[in-house]
Amino acid sequence: MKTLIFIVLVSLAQVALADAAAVIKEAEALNAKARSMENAWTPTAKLIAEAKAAQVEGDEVRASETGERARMLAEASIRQAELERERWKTRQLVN
Amino acid sequence: MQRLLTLLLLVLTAGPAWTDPAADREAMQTFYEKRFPSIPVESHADGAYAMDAAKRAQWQEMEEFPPYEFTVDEGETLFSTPFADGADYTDCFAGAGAVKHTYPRFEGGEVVTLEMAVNQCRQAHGEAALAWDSEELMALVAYMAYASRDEVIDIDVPAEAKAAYERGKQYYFSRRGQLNFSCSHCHMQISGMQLRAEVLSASVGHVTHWPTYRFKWQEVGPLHRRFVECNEQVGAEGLPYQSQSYRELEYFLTVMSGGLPINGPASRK
Repeated sequence: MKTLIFIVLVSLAQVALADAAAVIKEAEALNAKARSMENAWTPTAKLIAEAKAAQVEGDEVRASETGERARMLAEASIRQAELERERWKTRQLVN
Repeated sequence: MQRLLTLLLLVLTAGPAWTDPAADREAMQTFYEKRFPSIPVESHADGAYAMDAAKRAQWQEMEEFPPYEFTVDEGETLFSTPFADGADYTDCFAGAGAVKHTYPRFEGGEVVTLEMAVNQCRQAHGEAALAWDSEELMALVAYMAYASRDEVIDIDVPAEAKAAYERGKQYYFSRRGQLNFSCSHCHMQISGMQLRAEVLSASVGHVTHWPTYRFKWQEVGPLHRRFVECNEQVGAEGLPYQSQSYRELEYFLTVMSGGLPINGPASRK
């Protein structure tokens, strides 16, 4: 029984580890895309750095949560750039 | 009849595919005339100091002992110092460097700023290009701005430059950063109002006084450094100095400031 519990705990830890690593990787890729569109947001890179630091410290939960926040910000920055391709025109002046 | 209706529908629904820079400038300057009826458009060359009497008085006192004076003197010396091949900057720039009001300009398929032109001149004479925010480059363009004082900005947008102009305009009006602000939100929509202790300046006049000594920088710095700050203030990552987007934004803003005199270098908080 003890062995089974140990295996389950180790497996769960590995899943968390994989999740944090995956979400950070995705956040980085999305932020790179936003940067290539010249539309990256300043908090995104900071959150990615924080998530990586948490991972190094072994705090997988914080790494995953912070990475997810970074991922969402990166996604929003890309969406903003896509929307603004047309919407900026509504702000220009017409005499 | 059906054709006529189709044509009418097309005319009514078609947006301006391409707007005329002169019409844009007139629209923007008229916007500020209406928003600030007591401030002549030319006065916006002094930025926020055109809008706040108390701050203007303090600034004028500071300008009595201008903190950029040494930089201008250094620039004047550098400007007439010969390159290794015996030529100097006067071989590239007419009028003893009084050309600031004619930049940026569209040359060789891209927007060329004064800083770029200085480096192109150096490279044409076998010298290494200077870093975009180096003391030497800032001194040279500060001197050239000083030599150009009171010259009126008159930037032409030839047909081949229209796409670059439009991209600069797009950059200006596009929301960016986590705060979701465009340049126009701060400098048109809420211009003249305060963000904390600072009064937001009008965009007409934004380019007349660069390079500028900013007290928070404790040195003379380029316009593109200010662009980076603006971007960061709304939570957007800044771009490299002299990147295509910043040069095109500068182009758009300079066209908008057409008719205003050069008054650089200047001091700002």
